[in-house]
Amino acid sequence: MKQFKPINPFDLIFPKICLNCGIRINSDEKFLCNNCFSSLHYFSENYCEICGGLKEENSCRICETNDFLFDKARSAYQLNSTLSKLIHSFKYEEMTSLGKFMAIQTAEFVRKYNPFEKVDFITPVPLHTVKTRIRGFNQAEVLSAEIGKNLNIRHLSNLVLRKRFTETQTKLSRKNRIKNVSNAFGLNKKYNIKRKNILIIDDVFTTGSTVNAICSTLKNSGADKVFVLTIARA
Amino acid sequence: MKKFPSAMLPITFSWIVGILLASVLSIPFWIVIFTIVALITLSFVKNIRNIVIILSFFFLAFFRVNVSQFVQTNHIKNLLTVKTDIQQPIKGRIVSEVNFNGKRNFAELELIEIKGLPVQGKISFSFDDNLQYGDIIETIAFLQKYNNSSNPFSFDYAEFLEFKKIYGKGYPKTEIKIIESERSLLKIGVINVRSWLRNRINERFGEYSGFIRAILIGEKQDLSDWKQKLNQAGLSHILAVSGLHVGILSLVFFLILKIIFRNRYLSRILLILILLFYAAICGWTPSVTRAVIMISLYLISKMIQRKPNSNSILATSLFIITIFDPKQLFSIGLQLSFTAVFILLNILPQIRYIKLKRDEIILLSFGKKILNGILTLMFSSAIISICLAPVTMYYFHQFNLNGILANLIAIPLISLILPLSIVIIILPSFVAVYYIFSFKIVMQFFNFWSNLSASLPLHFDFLRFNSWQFFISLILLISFPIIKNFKKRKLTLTLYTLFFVNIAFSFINLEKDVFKITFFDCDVGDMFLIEADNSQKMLIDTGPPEFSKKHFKYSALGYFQKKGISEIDYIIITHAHNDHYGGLEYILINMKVKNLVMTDDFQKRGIWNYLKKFVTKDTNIITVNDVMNISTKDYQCQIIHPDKNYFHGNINNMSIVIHLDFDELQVLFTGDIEEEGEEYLLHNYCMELDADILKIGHHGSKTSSTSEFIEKVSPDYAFIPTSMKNKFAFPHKITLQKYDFLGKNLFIAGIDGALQVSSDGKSAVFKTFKSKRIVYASELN
Repeated sequence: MKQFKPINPFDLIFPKICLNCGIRINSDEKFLCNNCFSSLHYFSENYCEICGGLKEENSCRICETNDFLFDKARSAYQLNSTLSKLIHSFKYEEMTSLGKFMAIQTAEFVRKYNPFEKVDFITPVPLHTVKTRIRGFNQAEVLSAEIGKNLNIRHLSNLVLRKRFTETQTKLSRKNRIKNVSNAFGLNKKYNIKRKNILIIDDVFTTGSTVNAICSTLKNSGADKVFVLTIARA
Repeated sequence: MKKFPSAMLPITFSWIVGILLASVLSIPFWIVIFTIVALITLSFVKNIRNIVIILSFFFLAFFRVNVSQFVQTNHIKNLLTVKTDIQQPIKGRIVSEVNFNGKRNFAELELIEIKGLPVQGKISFSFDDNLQYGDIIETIAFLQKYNNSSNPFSFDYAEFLEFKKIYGKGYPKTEIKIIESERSLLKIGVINVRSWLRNRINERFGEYSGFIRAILIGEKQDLSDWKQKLNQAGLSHILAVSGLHVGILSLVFFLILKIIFRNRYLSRILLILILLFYAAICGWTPSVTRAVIMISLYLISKMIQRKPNSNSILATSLFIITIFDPKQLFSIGLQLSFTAVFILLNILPQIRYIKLKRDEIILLSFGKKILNGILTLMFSSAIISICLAPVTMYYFHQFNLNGILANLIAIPLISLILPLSIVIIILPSFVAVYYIFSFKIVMQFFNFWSNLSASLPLHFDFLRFNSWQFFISLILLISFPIIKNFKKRKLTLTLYTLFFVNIAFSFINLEKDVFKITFFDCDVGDMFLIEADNSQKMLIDTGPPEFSKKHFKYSALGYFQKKGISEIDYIIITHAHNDHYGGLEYILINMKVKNLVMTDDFQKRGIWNYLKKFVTKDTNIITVNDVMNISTKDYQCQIIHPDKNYFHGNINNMSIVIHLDFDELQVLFTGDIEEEGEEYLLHNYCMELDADILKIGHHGSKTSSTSEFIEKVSPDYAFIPTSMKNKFAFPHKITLQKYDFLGKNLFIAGIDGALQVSSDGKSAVFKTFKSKRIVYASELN
């Protein structure tokens, strides 16, 4: 006979459900049922060494058409319907605990495949103050803090600052995205990043224009190597 | 329990079934407690734990109902049952806000002592002094029970107040002495904020203040014509402070809180507190409580970062409300509110044959998008009003489809009016002035729109819907979302058809009625309804005038609605006194009258000039200037008075006297004739006077009922339409003595309430509605 476990009243009223398929999940499962969780695979094959995108016939078309300033970008997963639901819940329904969960998975990915060399600082893609207040938090900061804690890297939440308010990237074309974010970022003078390796964290890597803009700011200030790590690769 | 979307669903279900059964059955307390203990012990066995937990909630419901039904012996409810009038020194504490009803102040008084002995329970107390919430007072007071309803199916005010835990009324006989004050800070806050809001609304909204008070703080006293109008327009849901209002309110407040506080946790907790306070201001009515609890649970789910399940939240809020007061389950407001949300969550998403999916909508052109939106809204409100029909038809005997069109404009308008009125209340007056202007324009449009919608033809009244139909429809409603999971199309369709047929049945009257005469209790006033086999309905007189407590609306309307009588074949107005034609105006406006019978004398009176305006051309007017016969399929009515030769200056003596024959049953309705009229009848129509049942003339006045007349009529049963305490001192003692020979077969409205005689022509059953007597007459002669 199992030991009598006290019932959590919250479990009665708000039962844990799988965020993808909606069925009830057991207490040992987190956010997803085992079935949906197993549909997520680390993005560890067929990726481009530089931009981390899907490689077609040994060449990366994205890298050929862009001139990325960062040294290496990697994503833990490829974006699929399950993952986009998770990220949506995390960003727009204030489920920061879900963000932490995904950050832990991403940290595990880094530990497993060790894609980057020595990293000195870990920093999130900044969000404008107004937007942070509207959304309640900066999703990248939640991720980077958790990843930094897990990988034992110093986390600088305010290394990069957003100088002006930019439109949301999600609704713009690639060309406009680059225009949108150029000159949007500045550096916090408090930190010295000369000859340091920096890891930038974001939730989704789509065209890379945001991180590229940050990267140019960092490199101009003397950073040695800049890496990009995201949960998902679109 | 994994099969259910949430464990709260089966738990709430068994809890609700428990409450329902517990209010019908009574199981001894010790058995309930014993079962609960046994079930708790059993819950340690793992295999059956889930069933045991669900079962134990069933018995916990029994326990809860038993606790709430437990009344102490020194409770005022018991005291007033033993002795109806109490005049004693009392001590009590005012536990509610003191309000002014135009004549006196009144408030709820929690009794502490009567004559030095401890007492429990609340009464409604009216007084002239300047008292405040929390005052503990001492005075000699007169306490009385509220009257239970004395007419069939009429609104029971005493029961209604008992629901609110008020068991009687009282007023002081001597000066009130305030001993001390005992106030709770929270309640003082609620009362002060409410009265501040009320003053502010009265100050700023002018003619619309009554309406705004209703939709913002749930005070519905000053609604007058709005209520009727919105009801006809199918917009009465706007008047109930519910999800829409609380939703808009919490959006506004959450926005403000988000701007002030960075911490979302804090702003959510503050918002929950604000909402609870708001529910307290609205007096915890079921619909606002439901909305507040549901939104609070949603906010909590956000705080603990779980995806909320709306059905689970709905069930939980029902559970919470019934824990605090299991009786609330039977309140109409709660049933309406929960059924509406249930339909919204479960049935509406199921029937979306014409509803497009989101990605399909994006592809539409702008015009089509608007059209789609309009169709969806119309479709939704049609489904909601049809699925809510069991509740509205059972309680209000009404069914409304005007809302389909009315809601299209009214809901956007009300979503404009609500935030606007909040803004007007909050802002300082010199800024608010500008908003008031735009508010008035919106309100005028709203007023225009609701007038227009009220004139649409799809409002059905006087529908018959019995409790079985109600029960079956509710079960069907609950089963719809469940059968969805079986994926059986035929079964689903059958059940839906059943549901619609069940509702459609109310539009056709299939039930056959036995011959029935209902003598309504309208204090000093006549109103008698004769029904036979569904088609022949005759109403003799229409009771007292509008201002009286037992006007047609409050005494007989309930019966007409419940029985689905919207059409009266004959209305006979005996004479031109307002205790006889009082309800005629209301009836002519709201119901269909085929024939209106009155004397030529009546038509000479000024009142007829007024009432004439309400007579439509569908109504045939029959003028009585001589003896005449009104024959229907089942019964004969002889009008034997006044004949063409009779005239008397006293209107009473010009009353129509009716002799009714139904097989062996003979009834004499004498109107208000006095001695002179009786004498004339004795001399001229002696043969037509004999009757089994006599409606005693002129409310039992000593000016009628002469001994010779009584002897001639020789009734076996008689009814006096009068209250026991009135300014005329009806019924007079001398008259009562004359009818002493009838013994228990004399019925007086003031004592027995309404009287209903059902007969098959050979025998009759007499049933009274206040004294609850049943008398059988096995043989009529």
